[in-house]
Amino acid sequence: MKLEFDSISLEFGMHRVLSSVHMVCNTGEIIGLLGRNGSGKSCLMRIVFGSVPAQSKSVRVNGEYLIGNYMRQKIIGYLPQHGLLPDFVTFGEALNLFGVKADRIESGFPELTELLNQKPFQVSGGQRRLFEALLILFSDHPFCFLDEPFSGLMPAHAERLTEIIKKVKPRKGIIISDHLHRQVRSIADKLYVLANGKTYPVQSEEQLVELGYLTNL
Amino acid sequence: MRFIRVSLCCFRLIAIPAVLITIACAAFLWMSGSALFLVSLFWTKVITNVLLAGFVYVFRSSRFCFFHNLGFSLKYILLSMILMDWFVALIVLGSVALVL
Repeated sequence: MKLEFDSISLEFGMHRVLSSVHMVCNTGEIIGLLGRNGSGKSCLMRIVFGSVPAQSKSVRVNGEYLIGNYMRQKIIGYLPQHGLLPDFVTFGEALNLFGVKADRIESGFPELTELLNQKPFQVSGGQRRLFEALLILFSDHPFCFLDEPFSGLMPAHAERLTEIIKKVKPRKGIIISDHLHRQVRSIADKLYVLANGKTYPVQSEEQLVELGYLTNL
Repeated sequence: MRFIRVSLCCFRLIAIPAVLITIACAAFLWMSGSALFLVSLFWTKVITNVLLAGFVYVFRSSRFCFFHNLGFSLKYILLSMILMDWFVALIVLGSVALVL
């Protein structure tokens, strides 16, 4: 499958956040999306996911336009930056609703199976984040957008999550945005930087400096 | 089945205040001793539904993403939340009205 989006325009009053975006993500591919704070990475993900309206957008899967409420087709799974699970749902219920089997979590993170009867506010922020990322990765959506999946994770968990992302990659297209750019660059097949409302494909590390994402290498 | 389970989950966004309002309406109906008040209680429920939906939309919108991932749009979330509330209210208020 091929997910493609462009012609995305988002403005808040006089401030133009997104103007010239073009990205292609195929299943079996990990795309890294980097950008400074406030560059519009989360907005872009939410617009393509379908939860935020934009002045204009064009989203296509295998060349077919997605219009209207395409969230019901469950093509894209989205891990938001500020938490996915409502506080009243236990982890076990969330797994059931997403149609994810508990043994999939158990195989990667056996320690998380103890949390299945608990609610998100009863566990640490890192455990919650890890569980949410796994929920999206193991769900049926052919494309996953992960907005800062590594934030709040301890290094050992971040490494294991990276391994899980690599493992699910053959059957999913994944777009990751995170400020742990080394982690993102280590797994990304393609890298983009979002700057001045535009996406720039990155071919070399020097470009990250040129685009103002890094101050030096 | 899954649709109902997700709808029930949506209802939990407003479950506590909605059920409290329904119980208060039922108690008022019981104390008044007349099913004639059902019309005014109907409008009370309509107004409180609008207020609760507005509250959820403004202050709990960050939780919508969970339901969006399950294929529920904003319209479905609000609609299923309110329909579930009406289902509960019909059972509770209907039972009280039948006893009266």
